[in-house]
Amino acid sequence: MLKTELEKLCRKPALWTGFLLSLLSGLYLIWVMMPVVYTGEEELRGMAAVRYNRSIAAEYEGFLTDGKAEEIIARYGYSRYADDGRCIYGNYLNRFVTENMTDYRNSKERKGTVLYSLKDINNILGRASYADKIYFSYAEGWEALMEVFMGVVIVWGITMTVVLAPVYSSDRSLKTEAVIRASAEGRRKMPFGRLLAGWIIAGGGFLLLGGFLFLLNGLLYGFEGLRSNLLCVGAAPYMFPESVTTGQFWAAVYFPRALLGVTALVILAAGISAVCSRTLTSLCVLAFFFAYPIISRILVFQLGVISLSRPFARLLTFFNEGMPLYLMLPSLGLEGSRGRFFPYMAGFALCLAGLWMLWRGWCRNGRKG
Amino acid sequence: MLELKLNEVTKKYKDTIAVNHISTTFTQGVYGLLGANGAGKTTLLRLLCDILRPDEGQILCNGRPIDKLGAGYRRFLGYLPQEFGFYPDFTAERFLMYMAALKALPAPEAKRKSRELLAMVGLEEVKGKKIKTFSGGMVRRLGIAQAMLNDPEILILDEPTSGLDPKERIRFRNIISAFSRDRIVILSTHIVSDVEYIADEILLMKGGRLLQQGSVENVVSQVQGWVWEVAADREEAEELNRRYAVSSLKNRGDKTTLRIVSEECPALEAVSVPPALEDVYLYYFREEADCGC
Repeated sequence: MLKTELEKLCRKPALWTGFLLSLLSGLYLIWVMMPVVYTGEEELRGMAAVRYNRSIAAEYEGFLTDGKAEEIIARYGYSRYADDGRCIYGNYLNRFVTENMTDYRNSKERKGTVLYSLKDINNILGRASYADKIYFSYAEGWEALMEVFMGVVIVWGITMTVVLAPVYSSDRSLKTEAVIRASAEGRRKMPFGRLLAGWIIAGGGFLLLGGFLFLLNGLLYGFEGLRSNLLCVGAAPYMFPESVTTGQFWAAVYFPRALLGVTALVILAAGISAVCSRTLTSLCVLAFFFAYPIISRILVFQLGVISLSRPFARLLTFFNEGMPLYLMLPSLGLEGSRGRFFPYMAGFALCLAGLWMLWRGWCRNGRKG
Repeated sequence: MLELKLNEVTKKYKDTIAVNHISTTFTQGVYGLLGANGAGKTTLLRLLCDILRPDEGQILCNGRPIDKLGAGYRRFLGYLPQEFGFYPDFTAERFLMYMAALKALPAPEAKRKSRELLAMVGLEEVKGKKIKTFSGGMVRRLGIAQAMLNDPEILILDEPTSGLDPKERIRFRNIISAFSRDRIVILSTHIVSDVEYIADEILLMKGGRLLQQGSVENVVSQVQGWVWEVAADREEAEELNRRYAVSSLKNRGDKTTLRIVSEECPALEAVSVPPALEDVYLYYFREEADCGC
């Protein structure tokens, strides 16, 4: 049964089109996220910039110290920026020091003029309780990979929405529902088989895409960046009060959370599809749920709900962190805003809601039939 | 041997009562459920298949409610719905294998049974073709095959012969007759001839209620003495046709022979003739026949 359900999903052109588009979008984003280095004499782009940054960063790999920061600034100077925020002079090292350890963020001219010590709370890194043990290495690619994953997750999520939304509602359109539900396993093993097939496709596709892009990123930028502290790729100290490396974040924080997001999406798709009688309805409802975090943010921040009623705005966005899209996005801030476990609990609650809808819409002997 | 008992079963859809306090018992044999469209046949069969839940009453299988038995009950069940759906891109064989998996048949048995049934319904030569290329009759035959995959103790067929040509109908009747030994076969239809030859019992349904139940002879005897044949000229035939329920009308030269179902003698020259099941159907469902529902 599982094999047939898998085959049914695999024969959908939308799945392969979506997979290809996700892969292409990932590759494209990796390409456009390649760094640019302005040495003052020349402009290095792409792999040349990566090689340059990687070689200079290797000299400073290890626990970050005030001495290392001073040496970097003495050697390369502060990085400089145009009015629009574009870097016009800098490499990975002096940009890292300028942007994190100087008065750059407080200056209107986007200039770094004073270097703060790691003991000083004006130094962003200095706000961490483990400021004296921040491991530094070349992590530029792993910061960029988060942006890459954001794009890929959106395309793959849309693909899954299109592929999985009709999983039960199509049986109603095709009129196969009656014979399936009247069969011995049509309401027992079959829903389980369909869930598993959906999860294998959605999770497998995600792991394949993610794994490939992760590996490719490692080959392009080097894996030493995974040893760096998460603060080196932009995490705020208050969100990660304990020292976490970039590698630990990807392996122990992001991937489990993203898999929960994929699981929530698969179960929600099954549940919505089971209660909808038309394929188009299930597709629209699931698409709405998938895009809800974006829709709610547009409503709250762009259409001004927040200025009308703050509690209502809070209510609209309350569940965002547990929605499949947010769980699948490699955000560094997700754990911090409502407690570390809130996204997991909300995602788990969503899974239960999906299972309940599946039971009610398909497995239960209903009054509407 | 299974016994299926309906106890005051009622099913409502908003303001409409589709099945109205039906009580009956099915034991082994072929049951023909006759009724016009909208009589509640399909709803009753869906209730029997445990797809729908009754609003009132209970359906018991060997004394236990079928909704409590769940999969244990559905294991005994074979069902062909009125609108039989299929996956267009599946081949006939693959579809049967899928259905066999849903019916919890082990793979080797599923394979053997699929081949056997495909041969029985005459689809063996097209078993590798996609169902979307099948004619309506072929799809119906595939539907019959899937219903019989698990050798069901209870076979429920909703309008099984719609879309079948006369030869296929005869074949279907023979298949059901052979299959029905020691089993419960319930088939609903509004085509009287489908059940006249094979049904052990007839159930007449109208407006959600069970009007009659009994053997063909018993049901037919209800209109004994109310079936007439009369030869009339054209004008008189038209008048009789307007006033009475006419089950057949044949032109013979300048006269027209009418077969009329009426409690009163329709004309002086009318002769009482032995009734058939079709006459009973017409007697009970005349209004539906008149309005073309």
